[in-house]
Amino acid sequence: MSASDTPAGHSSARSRPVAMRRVAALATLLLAGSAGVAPPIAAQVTQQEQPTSLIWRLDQPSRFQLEILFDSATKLGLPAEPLYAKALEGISKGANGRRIVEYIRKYFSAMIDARTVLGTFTTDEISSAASALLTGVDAEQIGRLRKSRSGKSIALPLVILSDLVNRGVPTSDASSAMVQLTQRGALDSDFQGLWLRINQDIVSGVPPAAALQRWTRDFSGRSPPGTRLPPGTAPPTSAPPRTPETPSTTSP
Amino acid sequence: MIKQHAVMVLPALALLTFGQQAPAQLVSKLEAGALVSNRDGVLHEDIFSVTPSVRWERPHYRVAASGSAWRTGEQWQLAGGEAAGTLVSPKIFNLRGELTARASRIFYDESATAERLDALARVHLLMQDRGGFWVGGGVDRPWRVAVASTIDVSAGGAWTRLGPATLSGSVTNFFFSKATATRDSSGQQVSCHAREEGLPNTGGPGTASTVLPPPAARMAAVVQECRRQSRFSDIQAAIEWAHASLELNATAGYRIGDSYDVTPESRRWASAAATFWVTNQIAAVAGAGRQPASPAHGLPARSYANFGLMLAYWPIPRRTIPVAPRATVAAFSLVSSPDMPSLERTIVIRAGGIEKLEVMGSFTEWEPRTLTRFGRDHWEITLPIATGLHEINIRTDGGKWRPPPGLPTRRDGFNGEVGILVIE
Repeated sequence: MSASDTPAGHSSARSRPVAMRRVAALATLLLAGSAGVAPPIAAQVTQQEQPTSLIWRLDQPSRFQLEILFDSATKLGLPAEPLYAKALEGISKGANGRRIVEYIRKYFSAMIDARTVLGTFTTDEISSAASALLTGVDAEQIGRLRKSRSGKSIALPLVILSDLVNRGVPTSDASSAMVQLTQRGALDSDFQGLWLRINQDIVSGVPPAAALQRWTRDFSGRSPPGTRLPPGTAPPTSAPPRTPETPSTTSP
Repeated sequence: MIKQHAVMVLPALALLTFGQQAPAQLVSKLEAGALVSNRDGVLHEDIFSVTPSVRWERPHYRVAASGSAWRTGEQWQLAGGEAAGTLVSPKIFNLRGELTARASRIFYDESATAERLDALARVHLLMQDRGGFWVGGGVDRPWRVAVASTIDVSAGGAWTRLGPATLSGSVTNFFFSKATATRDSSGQQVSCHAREEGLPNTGGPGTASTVLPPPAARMAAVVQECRRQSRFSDIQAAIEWAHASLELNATAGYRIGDSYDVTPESRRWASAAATFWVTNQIAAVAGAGRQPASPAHGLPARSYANFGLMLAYWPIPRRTIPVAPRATVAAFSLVSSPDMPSLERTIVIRAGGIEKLEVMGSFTEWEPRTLTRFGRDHWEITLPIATGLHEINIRTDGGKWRPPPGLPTRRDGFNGEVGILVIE
């Protein structure tokens, strides 16, 4: 997963049911597999690699199946890079070919579902959404988050949502907190600061759900004057100051 | 004479040259520098000392050996040596046991030479590697010093970490019999017995006795021996602070005991030392202070100052903490500066007690990259990392891949987790 921020989605996909998209994708896969022809786009991905690349450590049948998946993703308008990176990660972590193919297939399927709810997306957004779906977040919850922050990337809120769910916060609580924060105009820096504070609380022994509730409640909002807020949200005031003890560890 | 000491110093030098290829658990260092010492009532000593040490460490045991050689005037002199082994139990309910046995020899001069064997057992209560308590006890058996019996040692202490500083405090009790004159200045009763060369003793230690005069014909062969029960307690506090390549530590102590067991110059002591890591294997060290008398070594109280260089393949862990904590990755950060090419960023990780640290992520095509250590626990690597989200993992000493601290995480699909790095 890296850095392309080019919108690659299609808004028309929003109207299609998730199940139909998945059926279409699987049909594409089956066709490509039964034809027994190495898809040309997959070949482009792998031909760029030197024989020393990690991908060459995989057994030939697994590599072939991955190539089909990469090519199918590209044909469906999905970025193949996150799938390729996941495969490399699996190889580097010592997973066997069968396990890697199995996971990449699941991840690919999650990307198809994610595209349906995201509409237009960046590579970071679709990979974060796919990971969130695999963590247990509902597609509908991701859709609500998308709507609450239209025009801006929801990659970081999705990352934090997945992290919180991974720590045991109920998905409904975590996703509604993310939606509330985006509705109050939270910027990416606010999400980062919020996560650091929640993380500090969790390290100190506060239950993750309680830490999330506390810091979400305390976020006073950034919405510009005149913005109509949903019922129950706090009025817009100035942004919370960054505390010196919680510097961002990720900003360059 | 020089050849003998070369035998001791060269293996340590050889170990230092292994660099990154050395086994992960091997610890070796070599200190060389000037030492100025003042022993009360004795002439000043200005010496050049060389101190090699080597240690093999595994999760449940450690073995170590060290030595030191001094050069005074035109002569090399073997100052001492030590071999030690430690067994460490697994942690159960935050409790960990530790058993250490040690043999050592010290040779300052003809009047200060001693050998000793000691064993010490400790139980540690650990609080998530942020602090802990310990109690312990053991025996210390010296030879060729005025201490006539085995020394019983009991001790307890506590330590905690406050940011980059580690504070510790301990109380150690010593109880032993000391050879003394028939009547000492304290007026306390001493036990004496007569011993005849080549014959069994007529009395034993600890018996308050009146010894019958031996036959006049054999008077010259009789030795009169007197012993006195001695005890004292050492209260000691220490602080250690480390930041990047600089380490500072200071110790202060007070000895409780009657005036016969504790001389005025051993009543209080303090010392301070600084270590500055010039590279990841070379450090400049300097220190000064006062040390109390050591009954087990037969050494009097002394003041000292030292400065020199330390060459370390892997530095000896800090001694402020009385138990070796497990390897910990304390902090992760990312640094970029205007001097660096636009995509390049430096990953900085603080991790102590480890030998090797690797990072991999989507920005390395999931190929592991080894970080370089600067100082004791400061690790760095500069890599090109584009803007956007990146998955990242680190691992210590070839262990499991884990997310770095302080980053959001997600499941990786391969029974692990990854950290998410956000580059803006």
